[in-house]
Amino acid sequence: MPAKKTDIKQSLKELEAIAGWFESQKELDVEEGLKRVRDGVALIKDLKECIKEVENEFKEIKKELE
Amino acid sequence: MPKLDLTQHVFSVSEYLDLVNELLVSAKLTVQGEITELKIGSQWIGFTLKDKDDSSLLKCVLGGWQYKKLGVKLEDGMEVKVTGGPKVSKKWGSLGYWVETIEPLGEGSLKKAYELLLKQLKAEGLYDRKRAVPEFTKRLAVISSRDGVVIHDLRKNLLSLGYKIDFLHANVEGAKAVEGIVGAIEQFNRKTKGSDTSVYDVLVIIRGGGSLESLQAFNNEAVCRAIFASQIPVVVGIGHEVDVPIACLVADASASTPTGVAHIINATWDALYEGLPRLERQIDYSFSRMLERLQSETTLRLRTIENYFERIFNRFNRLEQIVQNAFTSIYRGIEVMSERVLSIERLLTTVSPERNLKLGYSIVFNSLGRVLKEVKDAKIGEQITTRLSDGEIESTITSN
Repeated sequence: MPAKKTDIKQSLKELEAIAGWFESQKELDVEEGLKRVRDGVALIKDLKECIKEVENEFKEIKKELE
Repeated sequence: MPKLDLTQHVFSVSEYLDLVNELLVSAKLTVQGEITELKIGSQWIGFTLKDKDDSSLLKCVLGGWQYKKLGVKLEDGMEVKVTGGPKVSKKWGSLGYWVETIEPLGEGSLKKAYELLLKQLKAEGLYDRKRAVPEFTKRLAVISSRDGVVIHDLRKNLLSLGYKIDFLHANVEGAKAVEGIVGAIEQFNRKTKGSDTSVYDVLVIIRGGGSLESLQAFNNEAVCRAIFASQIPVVVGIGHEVDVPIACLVADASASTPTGVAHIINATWDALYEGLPRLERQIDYSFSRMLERLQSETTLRLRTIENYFERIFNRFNRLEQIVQNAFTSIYRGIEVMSERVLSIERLLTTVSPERNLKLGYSIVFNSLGRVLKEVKDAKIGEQITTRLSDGEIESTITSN
């Protein structure tokens, strides 16, 4: 079963939300913070792969045009 | 059968005259004399030949049709040579000489006959009609003596233009000349009769030079009229001294030598020689103009095509630029996106409670489970919980 294709736009939105959550917190919620960090790391991992793929594909296309 | 004794026989007048005439047949000889008492009627021509020495007289007669055929103009006082035969007229009882041919004799007579015919044919307008020798003449009907050199001169001087020559021999001098020349003219014309296009372009009659006497056939009325009647334009080439043969005047064109005739015929091709360079220039000019026009039109079309493609290329270049810009934007977007992800990653690393606990930081909660952030919030005797990286410690505040 092929891996679910990451939706960059959506992932970025989620990641921005996590970052925003941390920046807005006055009280520390360790568990929630931990959960969000884990979610954020997972998103970051997917996004990095995704961005790398996009970048490579982009470079290939550009090379074809040149 | 016993032979009839003529001396014992008594003849009737008619029988006698028949006999005499029969005997006179053998007297068919040539007689020379001066013409007197010339009478030209519609059907008969009569004159008396007078001997210039003793004035002896000989009555002569010939038919009007024959006079016309002989083509010799007669006048009193002319010295002539006639051939024919004597015959006694049963009606009149007189001896007459039936003329078959007449030839003027001596310079004076010849000149006289020449002048008479010259004047008459002029009055009739036979010298006025001049038909052009057709342009690019190719088919020649030639009448001359096979024994003369003139035919060779003609052939030699005709240019190599593919002439087709049909030749008919005719005596050009002497008693048979007139009949022969007229016959040949008629024969060539018969080939043309009834045809829309002539078999021949030109009829050529040639002979070498000669005296007025030897050229009689060409000062002959019958010959002149045959030339005038010819359907084919006639070119005559006769060598002459002073008086131009009347045949030359009647002909459509004439020359005094066969070479001259050849030049007349060759000249029909002049239009080609003169016109060809002009036509060549004309064709060259027209063709050049056509090429120029074609070239100009081609350039115009090419320019149109170039413009078309230029527009396409310009548009393509613009689009390419847009694409390039898009690439740059996309790339920049990817960079921004990566930077943002990294920045969030760094943030998450910083804010990660787990990481901070591992670094030695701890979190203290009061008895209500709220995080103690300041010393003033700690109450003596209150039970607090301290979270470390690997667990929690329960303790009581004794002082602050």
